[in-house]
Amino acid sequence: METTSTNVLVKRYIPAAAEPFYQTYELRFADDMTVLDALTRIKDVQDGSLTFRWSCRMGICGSCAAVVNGKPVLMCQTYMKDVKQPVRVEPLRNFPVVRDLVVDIDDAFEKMRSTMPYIDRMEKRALEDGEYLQTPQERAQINKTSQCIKCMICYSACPVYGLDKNFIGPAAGALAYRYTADSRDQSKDKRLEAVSGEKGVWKCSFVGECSAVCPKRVDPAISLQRLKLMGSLRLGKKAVTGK
Amino acid sequence: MYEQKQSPFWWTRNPATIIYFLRELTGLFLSGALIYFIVRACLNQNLWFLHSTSSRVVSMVGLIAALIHTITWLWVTVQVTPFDLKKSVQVGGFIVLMTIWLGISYFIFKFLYLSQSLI
Repeated sequence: METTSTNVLVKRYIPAAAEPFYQTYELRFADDMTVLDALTRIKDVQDGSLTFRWSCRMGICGSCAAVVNGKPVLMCQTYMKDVKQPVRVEPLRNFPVVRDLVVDIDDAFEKMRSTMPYIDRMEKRALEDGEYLQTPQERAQINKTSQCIKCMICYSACPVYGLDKNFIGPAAGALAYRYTADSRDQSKDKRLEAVSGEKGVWKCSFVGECSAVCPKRVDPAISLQRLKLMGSLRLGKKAVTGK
Repeated sequence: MYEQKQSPFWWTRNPATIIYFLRELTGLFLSGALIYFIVRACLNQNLWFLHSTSSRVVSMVGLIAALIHTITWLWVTVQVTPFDLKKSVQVGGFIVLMTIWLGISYFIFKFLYLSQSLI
């Protein structure tokens, strides 16, 4: 197979070093090689110390997210032939770097946990009464937001999260909307109160970059705006009814 | 661990973020125009300063900023409904909102601004 020569610049960080630095690797790539394949090849043949996360290699686990030529992407879904050469690979923005391309995403997961990401039936039903049914139209309401693979690319693109880590962030917003819009859930009011505070959805200024970069087209930006609307209506209802 | 700091020029990364930043900046121009007129109105005994060249320039800047701000936000409004709307319905909603906005603007211009009691 025909191969093309290129350089891959990787932004590295070794805990013992004071600052991150760029390391250049020479590589030959074929048309079917992804950026992840390129890094794996570099790690196998040239530099075993190069550190990065990966798992499924097919765009479903979200592990291999990184910034390639300035854009946060899944490396396994980005072909070397489709990006400008030489290729520059950096860790996801807005997260602390543990080593090389591995970042600490604990904060983002904590934000997601805070949105009550589960179906909560306030009134239990006996088994004999059957399943909790959902029509195809009701299911369609949560189709997009159910596709989130928690790759954190949206957090990397969000300038609000970059400035203020108190913001719950796009993926947490999409997750909150997914469960709030689920017809089987009965804790919508509790969840809306949880995400409507000062550190919640109202910090979003609708830049829209999260939706632009999402590899699964979850559209977290619209989810956040809808949660703002739902939160406002909930506030109005509370003011009128007291509940 | 190494803490990455966000660059103050994050908005220059791509055309979409540049447009977003400029749109947000229109708020500053609008506020600036308003403050200009309030200050001038306080310092003058009448509103004849509205005919000056500087006032006309500030008015034009404020008008352009208001147009960009309003049109972009009205377009965003029809996209953030709690339910999915077809593109054609979104466009129809946008046209209705624009018509209402233009109608109110015309009313204010004709019956308030042009009123002799103001100038």
